[in-house]
Amino acid sequence: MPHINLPEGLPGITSAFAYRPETAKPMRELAEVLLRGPNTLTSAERETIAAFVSHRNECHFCMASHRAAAAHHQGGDYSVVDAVRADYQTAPISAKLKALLTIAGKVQIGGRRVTDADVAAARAEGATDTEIHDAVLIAAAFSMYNRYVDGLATFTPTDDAAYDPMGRRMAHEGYVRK
Amino acid sequence: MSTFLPGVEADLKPGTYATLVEGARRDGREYSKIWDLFAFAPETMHHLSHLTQGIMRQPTTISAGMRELIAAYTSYQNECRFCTKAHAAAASELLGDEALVWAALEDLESSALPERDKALLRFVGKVTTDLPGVVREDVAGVQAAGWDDEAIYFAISACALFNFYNRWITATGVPEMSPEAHRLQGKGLARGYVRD
Repeated sequence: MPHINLPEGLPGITSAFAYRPETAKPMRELAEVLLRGPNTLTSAERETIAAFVSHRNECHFCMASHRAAAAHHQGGDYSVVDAVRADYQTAPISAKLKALLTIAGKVQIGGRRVTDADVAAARAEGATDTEIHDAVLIAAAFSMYNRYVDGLATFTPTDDAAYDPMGRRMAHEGYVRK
Repeated sequence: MSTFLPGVEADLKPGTYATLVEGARRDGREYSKIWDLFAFAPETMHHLSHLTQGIMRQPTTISAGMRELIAAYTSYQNECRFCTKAHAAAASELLGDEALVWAALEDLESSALPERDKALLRFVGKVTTDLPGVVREDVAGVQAAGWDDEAIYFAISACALFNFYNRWITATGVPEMSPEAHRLQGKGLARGYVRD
Protein backbone atom coordinates (compact mmCIF):
# COMPACT_ATOMS: atom_id res chain seq x y z
CA MET A 1 0.00 0.00 0.00
CA PRO A 2 1.37 3.43 -0.87
CA HIS A 3 2.66 5.53 1.99
CA ILE A 4 0.42 8.42 1.06
CA ASN A 5 -3.01 8.55 -0.50
CA LEU A 6 -2.12 8.11 -4.22
CA PRO A 7 -4.71 7.41 -6.95
CA GLU A 8 -5.67 3.72 -6.95
CA GLY A 9 -5.29 1.14 -9.71
CA LEU A 10 -2.19 2.64 -11.34
CA PRO A 11 1.17 0.86 -11.20
CA GLY A 12 4.41 2.41 -10.00
CA ILE A 13 5.40 5.87 -11.11
CA THR A 14 2.12 6.45 -12.98
CA SER A 15 0.20 6.83 -9.70
CA ALA A 16 2.69 9.43 -8.47
CA PHE A 17 2.41 11.18 -11.83
CA ALA A 18 -1.37 11.24 -11.53
CA TYR A 19 -1.07 12.75 -8.02
CA ARG A 20 0.82 15.78 -9.36
CA PRO A 21 0.53 16.17 -13.16
CA GLU A 22 2.62 19.37 -13.07
CA THR A 23 5.62 17.36 -11.87
CA ALA A 24 4.83 14.43 -14.18
CA LYS A 25 5.24 16.39 -17.40
CA PRO A 26 8.93 17.37 -17.02
CA MET A 27 9.73 13.96 -15.47
CA ARG A 28 8.34 12.19 -18.54
CA GLU A 29 10.05 14.61 -20.93
CA LEU A 30 13.35 14.10 -19.14
CA ALA A 31 13.05 10.31 -19.49
CA GLU A 32 12.27 10.75 -23.19
CA VAL A 33 15.43 12.80 -23.82
CA LEU A 34 17.66 10.58 -21.70
CA LEU A 35 16.49 7.22 -23.03
CA ARG A 36 15.11 7.86 -26.51
CA GLY A 37 16.64 11.17 -27.67
CA PRO A 38 19.40 11.33 -30.33
CA ASN A 39 22.54 9.81 -28.85
CA THR A 40 25.55 7.72 -29.90
CA LEU A 41 24.60 5.26 -27.14
CA THR A 42 21.70 3.12 -28.36
CA SER A 43 18.37 3.18 -26.54
CA ALA A 44 18.97 -0.48 -25.63
CA GLU A 45 22.26 0.50 -23.96
CA ARG A 46 20.67 3.44 -22.16
CA GLU A 47 17.69 1.37 -20.93
CA THR A 48 20.19 -1.26 -19.75
CA ILE A 49 21.97 1.38 -17.65
CA ALA A 50 18.57 2.45 -16.24
CA ALA A 51 17.60 -1.14 -15.35
CA PHE A 52 21.06 -1.81 -13.86
CA VAL A 53 20.95 1.22 -11.54
CA SER A 54 17.34 0.46 -10.51
CA HIS A 55 18.39 -3.12 -9.71
CA ARG A 56 21.21 -1.83 -7.48
CA ASN A 57 18.72 0.50 -5.76
CA GLU A 58 16.35 -2.45 -5.26
CA CYS A 59 13.55 -0.52 -7.00
CA HIS A 60 11.57 -3.39 -8.48
CA PHE A 61 9.11 -1.32 -10.50
CA CYS A 62 11.83 0.70 -12.30
CA MET A 63 14.07 -2.35 -12.75
CA ALA A 64 11.34 -4.54 -14.23
CA SER A 65 9.87 -1.87 -16.50
CA HIS A 66 13.24 -0.66 -17.88
CA ARG A 67 14.43 -4.28 -18.18
CA ALA A 68 11.41 -4.85 -20.43
CA ALA A 69 12.09 -1.63 -22.37
CA ALA A 70 15.72 -2.71 -22.95
CA ALA A 71 14.46 -6.08 -24.21
CA HIS A 72 11.96 -4.45 -26.55
CA HIS A 73 14.72 -2.33 -28.09
CA GLN A 74 16.29 -5.72 -28.94
CA GLY A 75 13.31 -7.42 -30.54
CA GLY A 76 11.84 -8.60 -27.23
CA ASP A 77 14.97 -10.54 -26.27
CA TYR A 78 15.59 -10.37 -22.51
CA SER A 79 18.83 -12.38 -22.53
CA VAL A 80 21.30 -9.48 -22.76
CA VAL A 81 19.73 -7.27 -20.10
CA ASP A 82 19.32 -10.29 -17.81
CA ALA A 83 22.98 -11.23 -18.29
CA VAL A 84 23.91 -7.66 -17.30
CA ARG A 85 21.75 -7.90 -14.21
CA ALA A 86 23.41 -11.20 -13.21
CA ASP A 87 27.00 -10.05 -13.88
CA TYR A 88 27.73 -7.28 -16.36
CA GLN A 89 31.42 -8.18 -16.59
CA THR A 90 30.59 -11.52 -18.26
CA ALA A 91 27.53 -10.30 -20.21
CA PRO A 92 27.60 -10.26 -24.04
CA ILE A 93 27.98 -6.47 -24.31
CA SER A 94 30.77 -4.19 -25.56
CA ALA A 95 33.80 -3.39 -23.42
CA LYS A 96 32.73 0.25 -23.70
CA LEU A 97 29.33 -0.44 -22.15
CA LYS A 98 30.98 -2.47 -19.38
CA ALA A 99 33.22 0.51 -18.55
CA LEU A 100 30.18 2.82 -18.56
CA LEU A 101 28.29 0.42 -16.26
CA THR A 102 31.23 0.52 -13.85
CA ILE A 103 30.86 4.31 -13.73
CA ALA A 104 27.05 4.05 -13.44
CA GLY A 105 27.43 1.58 -10.55
CA LYS A 106 29.65 4.03 -8.69
CA VAL A 107 27.27 6.92 -9.37
CA GLN A 108 24.46 4.79 -7.87
CA ILE A 109 26.39 4.62 -4.58
CA GLY A 110 27.65 8.21 -4.76
CA GLY A 111 29.02 10.52 -7.42
CA ARG A 112 32.26 11.11 -5.51
CA ARG A 113 33.22 7.46 -6.02
CA VAL A 114 33.87 8.04 -9.72
CA THR A 115 37.62 8.48 -10.25
CA ASP A 116 39.88 9.79 -13.01
CA ALA A 117 40.91 6.15 -13.53
CA ASP A 118 37.28 5.10 -14.17
CA VAL A 119 36.90 7.88 -16.72
CA ALA A 120 40.26 6.98 -18.34
CA ALA A 121 39.22 3.32 -18.55
CA ALA A 122 35.99 4.25 -20.35
CA ARG A 123 37.92 6.49 -22.77
CA ALA A 124 40.37 3.63 -23.43
CA GLU A 125 37.41 1.49 -24.55
CA GLY A 126 36.34 4.21 -26.98
CA ALA A 127 33.77 6.15 -24.92
CA THR A 128 33.57 9.86 -25.73
CA ASP A 129 33.25 12.49 -23.00
CA THR A 130 29.65 12.93 -24.10
CA GLU A 131 28.93 9.23 -23.62
CA ILE A 132 30.61 9.22 -20.21
CA HIS A 133 28.58 12.27 -19.24
CA ASP A 134 25.35 10.68 -20.47
CA ALA A 135 26.01 7.45 -18.55
CA VAL A 136 26.51 9.57 -15.41
CA LEU A 137 23.37 11.55 -16.19
CA ILE A 138 21.21 8.42 -16.63
CA ALA A 139 22.59 6.75 -13.49
CA ALA A 140 21.99 9.94 -11.50
CA ALA A 141 18.48 10.34 -12.92
CA PHE A 142 17.52 6.81 -11.90
CA SER A 143 18.86 7.50 -8.42
CA MET A 144 16.09 10.09 -8.46
CA TYR A 145 13.29 8.11 -10.14
CA ASN A 146 13.95 5.11 -7.85
CA ARG A 147 13.55 7.27 -4.73
CA TYR A 148 10.45 8.96 -6.11
CA VAL A 149 8.83 5.56 -6.78
CA ASP A 150 9.93 3.67 -3.65
CA GLY A 151 9.98 6.61 -1.23
CA LEU A 152 6.26 6.93 -1.93
CA ALA A 153 5.85 3.10 -1.97
CA THR A 154 3.83 3.13 -5.18
CA PHE A 155 1.96 -0.04 -6.17
CA THR A 156 4.48 -2.54 -7.57
CA PRO A 157 3.16 -5.49 -9.61
CA THR A 158 5.15 -8.64 -8.77
CA ASP A 159 4.32 -10.63 -11.91
CA ASP A 160 6.98 -10.17 -14.64
CA ALA A 161 4.26 -10.50 -17.30
CA ALA A 162 2.75 -7.19 -16.17
CA TYR A 163 5.89 -5.38 -17.29
CA ASP A 164 6.25 -6.79 -20.79
CA PRO A 165 3.56 -4.65 -22.49
CA MET A 166 4.72 -1.68 -20.40
CA GLY A 167 8.29 -2.09 -21.70
CA ARG A 168 7.05 -2.48 -25.25
CA ARG A 169 5.21 0.86 -25.02
CA MET A 170 8.17 2.59 -23.34
CA ALA A 171 10.50 1.35 -26.11
CA HIS A 172 8.29 2.01 -29.11
CA GLU A 173 5.90 4.79 -28.10
CA GLY A 174 8.08 6.52 -25.56
CA TYR A 175 7.52 8.40 -22.35
CA VAL A 176 5.54 11.41 -23.51
CA ARG A 177 2.01 10.41 -24.40
CA LYS A 178 -1.06 12.44 -25.20
CA MET B 1 39.95 23.25 -11.12
CA SER B 2 38.28 21.69 -14.10
CA THR B 3 35.76 18.90 -14.25
CA PHE B 4 36.68 15.37 -15.33
CA LEU B 5 35.19 15.96 -18.74
CA PRO B 6 36.94 18.67 -20.80
CA GLY B 7 34.97 17.48 -23.83
CA VAL B 8 31.83 18.66 -22.03
CA GLU B 9 33.24 22.06 -21.03
CA ALA B 10 34.40 22.68 -24.60
CA ASP B 11 31.03 21.88 -26.17
CA LEU B 12 28.63 24.60 -25.07
CA LYS B 13 25.45 24.78 -27.16
CA PRO B 14 24.06 28.28 -27.90
CA GLY B 15 21.55 29.46 -25.30
CA THR B 16 21.07 31.18 -21.96
CA TYR B 17 23.70 29.22 -20.07
CA ALA B 18 26.33 29.37 -22.84
CA THR B 19 25.92 33.17 -22.81
CA LEU B 20 26.37 33.24 -19.01
CA VAL B 21 29.47 31.03 -19.17
CA GLU B 22 31.05 32.98 -22.04
CA GLY B 23 30.42 36.30 -20.28
CA ALA B 24 31.98 35.07 -17.02
CA ARG B 25 34.99 33.56 -18.81
CA ARG B 26 35.55 36.75 -20.81
CA ASP B 27 35.45 38.93 -17.69
CA GLY B 28 37.50 36.47 -15.63
CA ARG B 29 34.66 36.28 -13.08
CA GLU B 30 34.16 33.32 -10.74
CA TYR B 31 31.09 31.42 -11.94
CA SER B 32 29.17 28.29 -11.18
CA LYS B 33 30.64 25.42 -13.23
CA ILE B 34 27.26 23.75 -13.15
CA TRP B 35 26.44 26.22 -15.95
CA ASP B 36 28.87 24.29 -18.16
CA LEU B 37 26.76 21.15 -17.66
CA PHE B 38 23.55 23.09 -18.29
CA ALA B 39 24.97 24.63 -21.48
CA PHE B 40 26.24 21.26 -22.68
CA ALA B 41 22.80 19.62 -22.43
CA PRO B 42 20.23 22.41 -23.03
CA GLU B 43 17.28 20.13 -23.83
CA THR B 44 17.82 18.10 -20.66
CA MET B 45 18.24 21.36 -18.77
CA HIS B 46 14.99 22.78 -20.11
CA HIS B 47 13.02 19.88 -18.61
CA LEU B 48 15.12 19.82 -15.45
CA SER B 49 14.63 23.49 -14.72
CA HIS B 50 10.85 23.12 -15.03
CA LEU B 51 10.94 19.97 -12.87
CA THR B 52 13.05 21.77 -10.26
CA GLN B 53 10.81 24.83 -10.26
CA GLY B 54 7.72 22.61 -9.86
CA ILE B 55 9.12 20.51 -7.02
CA MET B 56 10.83 23.36 -5.16
CA ARG B 57 8.46 26.28 -5.68
CA GLN B 58 4.93 25.06 -6.48
CA PRO B 59 2.60 26.38 -3.77
CA THR B 60 1.87 23.56 -1.30
CA THR B 61 1.75 22.74 2.41
CA ILE B 62 5.54 22.78 2.80
CA SER B 63 7.38 26.09 2.48
CA ALA B 64 9.95 26.80 -0.23
CA GLY B 65 12.48 27.47 2.55
CA MET B 66 11.89 24.04 4.09
CA ARG B 67 12.23 22.42 0.65
CA GLU B 68 15.57 24.22 0.20
CA LEU B 69 16.64 22.89 3.62
CA ILE B 70 15.76 19.37 2.43
CA ALA B 71 17.86 19.99 -0.70
CA ALA B 72 20.80 21.15 1.42
CA TYR B 73 20.41 18.28 3.92
CA THR B 74 20.28 15.67 1.13
CA SER B 75 23.34 17.26 -0.52
CA TYR B 76 25.22 17.30 2.80
CA GLN B 77 24.55 13.58 3.26
CA ASN B 78 25.70 12.86 -0.30
CA GLU B 79 28.85 14.92 0.32
CA CYS B 80 28.12 17.26 -2.57
CA ARG B 81 29.79 20.44 -1.34
CA PHE B 82 28.67 22.54 -4.27
CA CYS B 83 24.97 21.71 -3.79
CA THR B 84 25.18 21.89 0.00
CA LYS B 85 26.54 25.43 -0.12
CA ALA B 86 24.21 26.51 -2.92
CA HIS B 87 21.03 25.29 -1.22
CA ALA B 88 22.11 26.17 2.32
CA ALA B 89 22.44 29.71 0.96
CA ALA B 90 19.00 29.54 -0.66
CA ALA B 91 17.47 28.09 2.55
CA SER B 92 19.16 30.81 4.63
CA GLU B 93 17.77 33.48 2.31
CA LEU B 94 14.22 32.09 2.50
CA LEU B 95 14.20 31.08 6.20
CA GLY B 96 16.21 34.12 7.33
CA ASP B 97 18.52 32.19 9.68
CA GLU B 98 21.86 31.01 8.26
CA ALA B 99 23.18 29.79 11.64
CA LEU B 100 20.15 27.54 12.15
CA VAL B 101 20.45 26.11 8.63
CA TRP B 102 24.10 25.12 9.14
CA ALA B 103 23.42 23.80 12.66
CA ALA B 104 20.70 21.51 11.21
CA LEU B 105 23.02 20.26 8.47
CA GLU B 106 25.99 19.58 10.72
CA ASP B 107 24.14 18.08 13.69
CA LEU B 108 20.41 17.84 13.24
CA GLU B 109 19.54 16.43 16.68
CA SER B 110 21.34 19.12 18.70
CA SER B 111 20.11 21.97 16.48
CA ALA B 112 17.34 24.35 17.53
CA LEU B 113 15.17 23.29 14.57
CA PRO B 114 11.57 22.50 15.66
CA GLU B 115 10.91 18.76 16.26
CA ARG B 116 8.37 18.75 13.42
CA ASP B 117 11.06 19.79 10.92
CA LYS B 118 13.61 17.39 12.40
CA ALA B 119 11.18 14.49 11.86
CA LEU B 120 10.89 15.37 8.17
CA LEU B 121 14.67 15.69 7.70
CA ARG B 122 15.27 12.35 9.48
CA PHE B 123 12.82 10.76 7.06
CA VAL B 124 14.35 12.20 3.87
CA GLY B 125 17.74 11.23 5.29
CA LYS B 126 16.59 7.62 5.27
CA VAL B 127 15.23 7.92 1.71
CA THR B 128 18.72 9.13 0.70
CA THR B 129 20.88 6.62 2.55
CA ASP B 130 18.65 3.55 2.99
CA LEU B 131 15.92 3.55 0.34
CA PRO B 132 15.15 -0.21 0.56
CA GLY B 133 14.77 0.17 4.34
CA VAL B 134 12.01 2.81 4.14
CA VAL B 135 8.84 1.40 5.71
CA ARG B 136 5.30 2.53 6.40
CA GLU B 137 6.19 3.35 10.03
CA ASP B 138 8.75 5.92 8.87
CA VAL B 139 6.03 7.80 7.02
CA ALA B 140 3.61 7.38 9.93
CA GLY B 141 6.19 9.11 12.12
CA VAL B 142 6.30 12.09 9.79
CA GLN B 143 2.50 12.21 9.66
CA ALA B 144 2.38 12.09 13.47
CA ALA B 145 4.75 15.08 13.54
CA GLY B 146 2.06 17.05 11.69
CA TRP B 147 2.90 16.81 7.98
CA ASP B 148 0.14 16.03 5.50
CA ASP B 149 0.35 13.81 2.39
CA GLU B 150 1.07 16.68 0.07
CA ALA B 151 4.01 17.85 2.17
CA ILE B 152 5.38 14.30 2.26
CA TYR B 153 5.01 14.02 -1.52
CA PHE B 154 6.99 17.23 -2.05
CA ALA B 155 9.59 16.29 0.58
CA ILE B 156 10.26 12.94 -1.13
CA SER B 157 10.31 14.62 -4.54
CA ALA B 158 12.84 17.25 -3.38
CA CYS B 159 15.00 14.57 -1.77
CA ALA B 160 14.87 12.42 -4.93
CA LEU B 161 15.70 15.42 -7.13
CA PHE B 162 18.81 16.24 -5.13
CA ASN B 163 19.93 12.64 -5.18
CA PHE B 164 20.05 13.28 -8.91
CA TYR B 165 21.83 16.65 -8.86
CA ASN B 166 24.36 15.55 -6.23
CA ARG B 167 25.47 12.58 -8.34
CA TRP B 168 25.55 14.48 -11.61
CA ILE B 169 27.63 17.27 -10.08
CA THR B 170 30.09 15.23 -8.02
CA ALA B 171 30.69 12.59 -10.71
CA THR B 172 31.52 15.26 -13.29
CA GLY B 173 33.72 17.14 -10.80
CA VAL B 174 31.93 20.50 -10.48
CA PRO B 175 33.90 22.36 -7.76
CA GLU B 176 32.47 24.45 -4.93
CA MET B 177 32.82 28.22 -5.14
CA SER B 178 33.89 30.93 -2.69
CA PRO B 179 31.49 31.70 0.19
CA GLU B 180 30.65 35.06 -1.41
CA ALA B 181 29.81 33.48 -4.76
CA HIS B 182 27.59 30.88 -3.07
CA ARG B 183 25.79 33.55 -1.04
CA LEU B 184 25.10 35.53 -4.19
CA GLN B 185 23.92 32.38 -5.99
CA GLY B 186 21.63 31.56 -3.04
CA LYS B 187 19.85 34.90 -3.49
CA GLY B 188 19.31 34.02 -7.15
CA LEU B 189 18.02 30.53 -6.36
CA ALA B 190 15.61 32.00 -3.81
CA ARG B 191 13.94 33.74 -6.75
CA GLY B 192 13.49 30.53 -8.77
CA TYR B 193 14.96 28.06 -11.22
CA VAL B 194 13.65 28.85 -14.67
CA ARG B 195 15.84 31.15 -16.77
CA ASP B 196 14.53 30.41 -20.26
